[in-house]
Amino acid sequence: MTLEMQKPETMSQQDIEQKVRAVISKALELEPDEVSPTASLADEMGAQSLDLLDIAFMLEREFKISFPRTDIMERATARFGEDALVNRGLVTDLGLELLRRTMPEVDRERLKPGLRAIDVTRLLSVQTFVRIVMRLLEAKQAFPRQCPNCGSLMEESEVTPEFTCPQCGTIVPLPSGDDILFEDLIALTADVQLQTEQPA
Amino acid sequence: MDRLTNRVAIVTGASRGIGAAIALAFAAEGAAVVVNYLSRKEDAETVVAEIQRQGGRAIAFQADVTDESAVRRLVRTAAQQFARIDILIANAGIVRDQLIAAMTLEQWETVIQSHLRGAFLCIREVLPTMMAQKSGNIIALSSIAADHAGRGHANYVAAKGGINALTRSLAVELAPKGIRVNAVSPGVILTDMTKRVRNLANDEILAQIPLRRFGEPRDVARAVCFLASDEASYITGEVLHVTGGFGL
Repeated sequence: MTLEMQKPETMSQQDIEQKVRAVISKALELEPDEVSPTASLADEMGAQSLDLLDIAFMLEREFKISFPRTDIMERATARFGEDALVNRGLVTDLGLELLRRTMPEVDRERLKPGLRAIDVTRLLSVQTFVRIVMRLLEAKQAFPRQCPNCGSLMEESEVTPEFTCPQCGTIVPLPSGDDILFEDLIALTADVQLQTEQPA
Repeated sequence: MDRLTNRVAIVTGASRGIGAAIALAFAAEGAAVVVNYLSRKEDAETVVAEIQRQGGRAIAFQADVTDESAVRRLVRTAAQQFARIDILIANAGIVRDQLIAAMTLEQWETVIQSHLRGAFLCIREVLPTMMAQKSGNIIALSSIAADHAGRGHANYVAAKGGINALTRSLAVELAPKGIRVNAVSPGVILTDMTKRVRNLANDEILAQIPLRRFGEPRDVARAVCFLASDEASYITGEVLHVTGGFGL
């Protein structure tokens, strides 16, 4: 069975990880066994910023999802403001706590004071992309399949992250990855906001 | 003539003039061509019919290049129809000449949007496909007007100057993915767009062209074919002038 024919619910984490590794090896022109699940894409596999975008585009096609265009620091900045997250080029304590909560796959040893903001993208690994893909597949699975106009069951597009109603032709795009991960960020940091508003 | 065999090209604004000449030249070189047009459906279909008559592959597709969702449909259709996208020609654009003191905001924005926003949207949309292919070729149509100052079309000059800067910027940004970005800068070409200025000052303009003739659309198309072909595989970030020496 090809991946395209599988339903998200039948795709195991192992299946997803295998596909993500295949995409990353293609994007970075590496042999699949050179793509370690935990290694930094930038430091150990030579990924540049454009490669990360290339990987995102490929994952969108592979899984029919809408991958985020912003990174965690951009989303967090929209939530907390830049000053709260970065001070003189270094990630603040609040920023570090936020990274620990939103990037559980990253070794805690790497999330220590002194981390430079420009080095946050160097934390990205295969596991980061697997986590995001799984989250977006979960959101897709939970997405209502009933047409908002006529109530018929919509069909998933074979090409793009959207659903089409076979009865009335309505097209409903999936929520963007940016929106989904931003909502997750808010949920994961609800108490962080309280701390910043009411400092001890 | 098979320099573009098995390549797939999107040519925006290809229903007439330089765009149509490029579409026909590409097809003659073996490429499958998506002939984009805004409103001249019959002209676009004539270009497609001519390509098909000569044994080539082409489809016409209506899309306003300043409309994000329309551009998405254009590129999606091209990829679905021909399975890949090798070449994008960002040619679509219009003129609204006026002295700057009398230029309306609508005239300014219409020209800037059709050339620059249109190029941006089309380029951005083809990139996922080109990046996945690890190859691609983007050629934007500039103009000698970007380098050779003249009165009464500051909006057009600014747009084409922007195209030149965009070309150089993207050449650097996209080179790691095997995508070349160049521009072709035509001089005074025998098209509807230049008819008015040729009527007004035919002899004066000709006197400034060392080769002593106006360009034909096929002169520009040949230069575009060269840049799109593997013969230009080491050329990126260039603005190739096709002007008969105008402005030297």
